[in-house]
Amino acid sequence: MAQLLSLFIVVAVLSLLSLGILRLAKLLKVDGKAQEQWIERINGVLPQTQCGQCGYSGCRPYAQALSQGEAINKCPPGGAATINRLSNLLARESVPLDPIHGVESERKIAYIREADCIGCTKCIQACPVDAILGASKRMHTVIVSECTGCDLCVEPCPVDCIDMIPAQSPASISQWRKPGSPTTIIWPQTAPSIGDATKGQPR
Amino acid sequence: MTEFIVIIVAAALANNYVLVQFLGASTVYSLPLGSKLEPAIAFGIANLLIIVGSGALNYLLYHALLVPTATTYLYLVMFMLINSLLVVLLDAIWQRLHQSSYLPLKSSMLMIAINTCVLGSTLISLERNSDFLITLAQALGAGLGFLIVMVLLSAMRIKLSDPRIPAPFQGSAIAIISAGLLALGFLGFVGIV
Amino acid sequence: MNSLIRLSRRLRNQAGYTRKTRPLRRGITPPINKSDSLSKAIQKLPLAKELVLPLRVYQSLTLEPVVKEGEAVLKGQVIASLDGFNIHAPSSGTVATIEDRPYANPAGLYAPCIVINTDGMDRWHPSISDRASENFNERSPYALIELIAEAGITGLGGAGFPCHQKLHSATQHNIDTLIINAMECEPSIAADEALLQERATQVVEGIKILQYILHAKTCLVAIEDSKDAAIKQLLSAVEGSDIEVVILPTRYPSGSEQQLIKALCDKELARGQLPASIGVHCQNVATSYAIFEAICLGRPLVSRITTITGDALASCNVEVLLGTPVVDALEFCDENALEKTKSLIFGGPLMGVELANELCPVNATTNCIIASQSQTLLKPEQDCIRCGFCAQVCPAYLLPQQLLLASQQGAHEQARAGGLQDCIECGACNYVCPSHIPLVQYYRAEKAELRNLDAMASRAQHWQQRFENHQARLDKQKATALDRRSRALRMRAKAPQAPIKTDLHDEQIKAPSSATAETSAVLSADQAKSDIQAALARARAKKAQQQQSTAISDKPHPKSEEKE
Repeated sequence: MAQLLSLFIVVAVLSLLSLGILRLAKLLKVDGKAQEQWIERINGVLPQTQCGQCGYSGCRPYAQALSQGEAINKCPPGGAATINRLSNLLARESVPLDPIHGVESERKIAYIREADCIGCTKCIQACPVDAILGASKRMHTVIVSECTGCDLCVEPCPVDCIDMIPAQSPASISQWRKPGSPTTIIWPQTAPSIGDATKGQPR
Repeated sequence: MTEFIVIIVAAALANNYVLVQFLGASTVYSLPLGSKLEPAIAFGIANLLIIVGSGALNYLLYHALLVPTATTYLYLVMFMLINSLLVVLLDAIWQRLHQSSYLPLKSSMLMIAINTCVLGSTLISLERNSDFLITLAQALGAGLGFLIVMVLLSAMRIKLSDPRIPAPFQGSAIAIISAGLLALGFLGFVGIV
Repeated sequence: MNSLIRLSRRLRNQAGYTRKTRPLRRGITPPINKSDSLSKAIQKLPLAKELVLPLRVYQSLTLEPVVKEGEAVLKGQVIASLDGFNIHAPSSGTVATIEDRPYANPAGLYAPCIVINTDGMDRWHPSISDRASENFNERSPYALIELIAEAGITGLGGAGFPCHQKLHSATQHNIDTLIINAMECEPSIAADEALLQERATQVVEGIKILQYILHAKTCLVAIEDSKDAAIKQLLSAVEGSDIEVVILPTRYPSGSEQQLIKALCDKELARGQLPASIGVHCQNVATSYAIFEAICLGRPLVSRITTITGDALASCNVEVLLGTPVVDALEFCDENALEKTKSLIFGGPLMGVELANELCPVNATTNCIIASQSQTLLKPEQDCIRCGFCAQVCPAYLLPQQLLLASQQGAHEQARAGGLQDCIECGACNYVCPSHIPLVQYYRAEKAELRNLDAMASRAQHWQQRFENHQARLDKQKATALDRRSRALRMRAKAPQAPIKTDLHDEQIKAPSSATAETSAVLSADQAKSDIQAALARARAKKAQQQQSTAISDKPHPKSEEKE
């Protein structure tokens, strides 16, 4: 009997202690500010194309989901680089991109075939970053420097006049090749290389 | 004083919990820490705080509560309960102090609660019937040792992501081989204590 | 014995001066390999039939052509210009065409070039003689900088940064030390040394102009102790002036700007810091010579001295007109050079760029052309054995091995944290690497990668801002629409006889500027309607076709799969 009583005492003391600690922990926890800041940081890693390929309505919602344990491999525009940075930030194992959400490709921008555009403004409303310029019944066009290449304007177009074309990154002359690539430079256009040039050719 | 230093050094290096006594090794290997040192350091420090806290609290509760009421058979349950509570508490405190850098630890916090290193430190002290200060020193040493191993292995893991490791050895294989080599190295510390 | 003489000279430096220097401790001492080309005097390259002048001068700085196709030009005439900075015709002739041509750059890009067919007369433009002035002291420093800009002078040492911009930013600071870089520490390159051997007086004249522009208290000319003849000429040329010649030990890469400033002034530059901010200004000797020609003779930058070397031909130093195709320079040195050449390098053996095209024109930064008989100078790469030689020679005090690992793995943050941006790409690590790893190539690729990442990050920030603005605008629109709706409801409650269509507001909320049926009625042109109908039909047909093709390929749409 005494044994049972002492057991009860111990359990009661320990329960009170746990309740106290849990209460203290709850008091210590701050409001959602930390969470907000954290989501902001995750959002900073995402490419901000606002394309929704991850299944969320934009980059921030995905960041929010990430903070609650969503998989880090759902962002095709960011590709391996973003997954890598997310894995560092979130301290999670790096995994390859989930093909369900798309494949990593070079950056693209939308291009409106102006001859076909009927001026319906549907793409203007679809654009998450207001990168399409135009008015009702007037031809629309994409502001190249602002286009994120999110693809969202392609679907709503009733006449299918929007193409996604590879973005031309501003060519940098200091773009060096990685070793292992062929030692001779591959010229973007066909140019005569050493030995091809005949001596009699006017120079 | 010398005694405490010897105990701390011995627990941290010569009797390192992870590499020599194989306590909490699973935690070290299974933690997904990405390719950076910071999470490892943060986790190690959190673990250190928990070990010391649980060592002290468990000692006090064991001797003040369980022994007088002759319910020492409850020790395991109580230790685990206290450990979990401490983790919850530390979780809250940590979040308060480091608002934005805290969250990556969240998933790992649970790992501390079930870390055998924490429980092991308390149990070993209990087994040896050591007094309060010795228990504390022992816990501090254990925590330091865990921190050191955590950082070392994490740094090694970063280096081991080199893709030129032969395919059969990639991943956990090379991690365990190198941890084994590290453990052999740590055995060398036995000489200094 | 020779080394003893060098040692004593280094201790003495120059009679009358006892400047304490801190020569580069790290770095390498490769074979100098300059005596071949220096044994001959500077030769003038025969006029090429065609001169190609890239309009892109420094990285993305592209000039606007001011001549048209078919226009006759004279030597020294402005053919392209931007903000007072000019490119000049290197010889007289006619403008053949303005088109994209290959030019010397690591990315293998094309740039718009002005192509001039020379007439063989090499007639100077008459304005040249008007511009010449014996006495530069009569002009203000700013006028001189303007003249330098007009003469189109870029740094002739390495990067090719426009000289006037460098001088202009230097005048914003208080410059107390002007350093003239005559180190030319890279093996095989002897262009500056040859220039000093033959035209030291003119170079010193140019230095005096720079000194006048910058009001520099101290003016140092740094030169390596192995350049005996050049030192002799230089010392006699500076006689009587307050220009000080400092002789430094021969060691690569002590001629790099940062390393030189450290050696002479014991000051170090922080990352991204300009020398001007610590009161130092560096210029190359060849640039000084070009400045002399521009100010005293009125001649713009139309030629430079270049070393042509390599085992495919007989080495020599030539004075070459800018825009001359490399092949002309090669054939001047050896008739069969083109057949023998397997690889062609612009620049020195350690820092140069391998070219795939011998029609690339010589530009202002071409201080050396190496024509090699072997396929490539690089030996096959092996694995890193972690010998640490690279860390011992790195003049920037980096850990090349760690950076290499980070670059190879694409660990960009690690590479950045390791100070990759501080790498001066000198190639000393390549030189000592027993595994023949082209470390610098990895670094260059990684640097480009980091730049891309930065660009992407700034783009993302911009997009985020725009997206937030967009959202804010939508929210505001919604709020006003709701407001209007509630007001309308209130109105209706007051006056029930006036019916108000609430669904119209709904439409406005959804599509504030969409084309409704009324607006199309306003545009009652049948033509437009039929056009739209046709376009819609076309689209429908196309969509049907696409669906068919996807059905055939049996590839479900990614989004539909997700829904399942």
